[in-house]
Amino acid sequence: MSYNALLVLSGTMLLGASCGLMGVFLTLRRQVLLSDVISHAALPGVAMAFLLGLWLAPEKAGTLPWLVGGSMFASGVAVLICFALQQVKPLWGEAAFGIPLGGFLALGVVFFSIIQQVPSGNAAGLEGLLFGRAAALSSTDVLLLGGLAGIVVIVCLLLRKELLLIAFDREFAIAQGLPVALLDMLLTGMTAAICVLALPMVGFLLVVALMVTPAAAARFWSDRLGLMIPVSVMLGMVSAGLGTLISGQLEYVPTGPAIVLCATMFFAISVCFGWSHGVVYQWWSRRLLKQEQLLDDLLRSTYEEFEAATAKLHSPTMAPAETGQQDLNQQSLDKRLSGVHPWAGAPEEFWLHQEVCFPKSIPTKDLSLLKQNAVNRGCLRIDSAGQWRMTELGWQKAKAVVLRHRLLELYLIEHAEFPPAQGDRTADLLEHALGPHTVDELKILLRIDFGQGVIRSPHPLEATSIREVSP
Amino acid sequence: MELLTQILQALSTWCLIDTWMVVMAALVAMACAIPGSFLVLRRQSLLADGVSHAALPGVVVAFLLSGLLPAGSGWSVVILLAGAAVSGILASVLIEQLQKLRTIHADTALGIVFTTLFAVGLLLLRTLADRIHLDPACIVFGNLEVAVVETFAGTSLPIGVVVALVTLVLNLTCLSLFYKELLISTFDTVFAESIGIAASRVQLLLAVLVAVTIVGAFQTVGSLLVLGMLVIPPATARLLTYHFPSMILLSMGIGLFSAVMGHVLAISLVGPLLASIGVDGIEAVSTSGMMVLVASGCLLLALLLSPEYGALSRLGQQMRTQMRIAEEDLLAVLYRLEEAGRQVSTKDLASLVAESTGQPAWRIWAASRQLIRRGAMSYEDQHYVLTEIGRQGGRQIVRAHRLWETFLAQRLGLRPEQWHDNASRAEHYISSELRHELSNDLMRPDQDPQGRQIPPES
Amino acid sequence: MNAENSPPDSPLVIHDMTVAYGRKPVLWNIDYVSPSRKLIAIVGPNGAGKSTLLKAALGLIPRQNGEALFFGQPYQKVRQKVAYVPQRSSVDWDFPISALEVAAMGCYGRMGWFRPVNRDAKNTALAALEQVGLGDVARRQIGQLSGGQQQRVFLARALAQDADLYLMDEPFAAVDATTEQSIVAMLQALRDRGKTTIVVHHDLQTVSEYFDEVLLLNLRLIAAGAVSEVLTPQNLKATYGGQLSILDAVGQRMSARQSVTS
Repeated sequence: MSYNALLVLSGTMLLGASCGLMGVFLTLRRQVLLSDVISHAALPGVAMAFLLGLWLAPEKAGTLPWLVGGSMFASGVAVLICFALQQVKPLWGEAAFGIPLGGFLALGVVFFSIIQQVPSGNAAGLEGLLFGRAAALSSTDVLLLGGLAGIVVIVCLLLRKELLLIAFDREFAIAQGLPVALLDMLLTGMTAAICVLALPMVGFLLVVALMVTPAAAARFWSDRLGLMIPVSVMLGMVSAGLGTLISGQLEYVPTGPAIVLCATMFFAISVCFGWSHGVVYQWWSRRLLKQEQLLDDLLRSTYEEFEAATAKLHSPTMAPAETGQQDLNQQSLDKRLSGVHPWAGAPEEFWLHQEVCFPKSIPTKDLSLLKQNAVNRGCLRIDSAGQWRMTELGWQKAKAVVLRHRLLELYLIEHAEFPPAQGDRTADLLEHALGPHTVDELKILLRIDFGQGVIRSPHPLEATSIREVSP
Repeated sequence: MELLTQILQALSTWCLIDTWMVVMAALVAMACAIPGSFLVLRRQSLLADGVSHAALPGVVVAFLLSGLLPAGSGWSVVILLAGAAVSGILASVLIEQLQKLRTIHADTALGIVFTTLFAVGLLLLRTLADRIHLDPACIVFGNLEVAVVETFAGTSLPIGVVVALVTLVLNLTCLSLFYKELLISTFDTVFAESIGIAASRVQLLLAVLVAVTIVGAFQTVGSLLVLGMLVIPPATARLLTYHFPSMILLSMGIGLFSAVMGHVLAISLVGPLLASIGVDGIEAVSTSGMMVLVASGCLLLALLLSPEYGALSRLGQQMRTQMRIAEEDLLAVLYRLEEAGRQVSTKDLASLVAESTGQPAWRIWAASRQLIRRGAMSYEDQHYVLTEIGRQGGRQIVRAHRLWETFLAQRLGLRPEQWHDNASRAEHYISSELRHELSNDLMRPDQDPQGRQIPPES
Repeated sequence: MNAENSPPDSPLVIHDMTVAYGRKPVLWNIDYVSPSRKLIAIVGPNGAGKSTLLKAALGLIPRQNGEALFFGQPYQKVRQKVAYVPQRSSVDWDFPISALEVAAMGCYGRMGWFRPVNRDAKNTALAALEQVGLGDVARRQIGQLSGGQQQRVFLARALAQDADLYLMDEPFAAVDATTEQSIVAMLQALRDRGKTTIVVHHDLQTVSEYFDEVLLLNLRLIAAGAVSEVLTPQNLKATYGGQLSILDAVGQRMSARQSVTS
């Protein structure tokens, strides 16, 4: 790769990076469309600068400094018109944005139709501004663009704290005494500068993409600005570099579309795989969560089955199912908690040898994965006869799950005044969201002190779940 | 003078092609006014920009398909418009889906989707460059001058005119079919949803309309300049009227006017104008560009002169109010002097009014002219004397002032030094009904808190 | 008490302040001197100008006339001594920012321009979050917190400012009863440490329970002082009884653009 090509590549990468940086602030302030106005308004600026250049200094007409100057001027005017129009009542908000956009484009088109008729109007340099032609840049151009972009980046990083504040909570920023209007203007001005600088690279129709896409993609990787900024900067840089390389290889591909499609590709990847909001990531974590919940359900149903069976084994007349529903409604909290645990007498090892029954409520399509998951986590095991058995670890976990469920159920009945039957069902839904911290809080709230044990179920267990056990 | 003759000379070369160009541009401009009005009211003016970019791949594919058909066949028009509709639907569905991801806002989604689709379109165009004859710059900027050249086989009817006409008819049909849905959803989305008009459907309809309009117009004004015609005439109309149907009609009218004037100015004005500053050889500039510029000019006029929002008309209104206040101040001072049995010369009076009300001298002078003309006072022997009309007016102002002071003291419990300034501001805004209400509310007082007489209403 | 002979160290002195939107006055000639080390409520009906009073005092919206002094000085000179907690609704909850970073914003004013957020600021912010009971969710994104927790994050930001006067705009709006209790407990702790707090409050029922002083407002100041003295049936009638339709009518006419002929 030649020195010049390398320089062009590094220049575009720097510009891509600065676009990524500015884009973060733009998207957070919801001013994305402002960059659209800015970049489109640059068109008449370029044409005007070209004509002016022809008139004042014909040998320099169409060179980059003239064009950048002209487009910055025109963009600035367009933004000012935008803000002024928004002050007119019926045109507030975005209604005003299209007006300077349309007007400036028209002006640009008229200027261009003049340029085409001017004898010396060699509009070759202008063509590149439409769709971007990075390879046509000279090394001085790259130094100019890169230098200006560098300044903007430095200012932006220095003012990070202040810019964050006005984007997040304007009112607080004003109360803190920040010169909000000045910062607004600075940010808009820097946006305009970066937009205009990126024009020769991506073309004025596509600058918006380089501003928006990396920043939007970065949001899928992190919820924190501190991480979003580097991700966005990197994505902008890589897209710009990759796009430039591709368009250098395939000559019919202009730089602009190549860069934009690279950025979109990264965006699509982020939407799918970003580990903060990515679709695939979310799908995967939902799936994991569901597995977790299924395992909890399995452990709890197994535990309750054993519990009921033990109760029957010890005193067949005192099966929990015989506790009447009406009676239950009148029970006080103390009474619900009183009494020894029904299976307290049975040795745990005994239960570890009982066969595990998988409840019918678990869909068959999830069953094999659930079994594997349970084995992986050491909750279940398969004995030599091919029967499913609990492990020690599974038993401990089952106790915790059951305790959590019953505490929540008790809380719902005692404090949220749920009818007992509904308390059980609601607890089914809510229990998985409870962390160990909340469980401890519930214990304190319900004033329960019972060491490591499990409390009785506040509602009678289903008679159907009781089965005969073989000692 | 020379300029004028040059302009006339340029116009004298008007021929059939010019007529077709104007007809086509006018049809396009009127078609744009319909979806444009909704875009402006929904504050989605940049959706037009987005769709104009996003329509490119649809256009390219449509051109590729119509290349398979015999030249000059009417089917190519249908394919073109269908291609536009498809890309419009694609763009708005993509935007909506992106917005469903929690972290993407509407504007971000718009930006990502339209730039991507445009980039895809450009790539397609470049890749297929030897199969279809479409100049990207022409799509972007439009070229009326070329658009009228291509005619239906065997006739002199340009295809572009038919496309524009079809677009206009389509838009008018959709407007009459879905008028109430579009209107309700634009005005009150939540209510519309509650009666079963889904916002997403309406948005889709609008996006399709915009896409079809843009494609119908891209040969004429270019896909980018359609944006101007979509947004600027409706925004102008909005400044001039509150009534929605007349807003659409008015924006169609402005579009028509811009099309005609745009072409006339493009072929006549700019060349001679440039020639007069020494740049020769410019014959005509882009008609489509001039057309949008004329529309922008209309908007500028509306911004200045609109009765409700115009800067100049508001300035005029402000000046009228200031003048009324000055007249009322003058009358009130004269009434108070009369009440005290004093008479001062006109010169002293002017300085007295200036001192007590802070009005500039020129306005007091103008107010006194006005009052004399209206017969509220007369000029006698270096003095102004109130006529019965003037006395009545002064009495009402003084009554309002003193009633208000009483109200401030009794009801608001303000301190005495706060009474006067407050009442001097408020007295000009207290109508006779309010005076009546105030007086009743304060149990018909006849003295203000400083013990001065509150004069009767008449 | 009159503004002229007020103690110079009074946290907030408002003198003859009138606030207008356009030309329509929404607060008429407010005179108020706040005591220090007290918990003060601003109470009044909807549209009485409660939030406007705070914002105008801080200069966030322009005053038509009058002045507001904080500790005897204009607000610009004593920003560090005054913490303002705006209503929550003005914030974008999807913003990529953690509770800790929001709380650290309270230190920005002290840090000055260009300086990055340092460890000191983070420690202060974390301490403030722990004070409001949110130490364990400090790293969460702000939108992932519950409504009550979000409100407490903004209180933590004010705490991190370490001010002497706290101005809060409806801190109890849309929070549950438990959060309300904990916020009140926090405000009382602040008062016991010698700070003054002025709170825009909409619930008349709880005023006497939560606050020491109250300021009754309805377009003008009805009464201000200790809760037991001010909350008289007469004052409440003046605040909530809608006898000021005339004031509103005049204000409306002053804001109307058409010229009025009398």
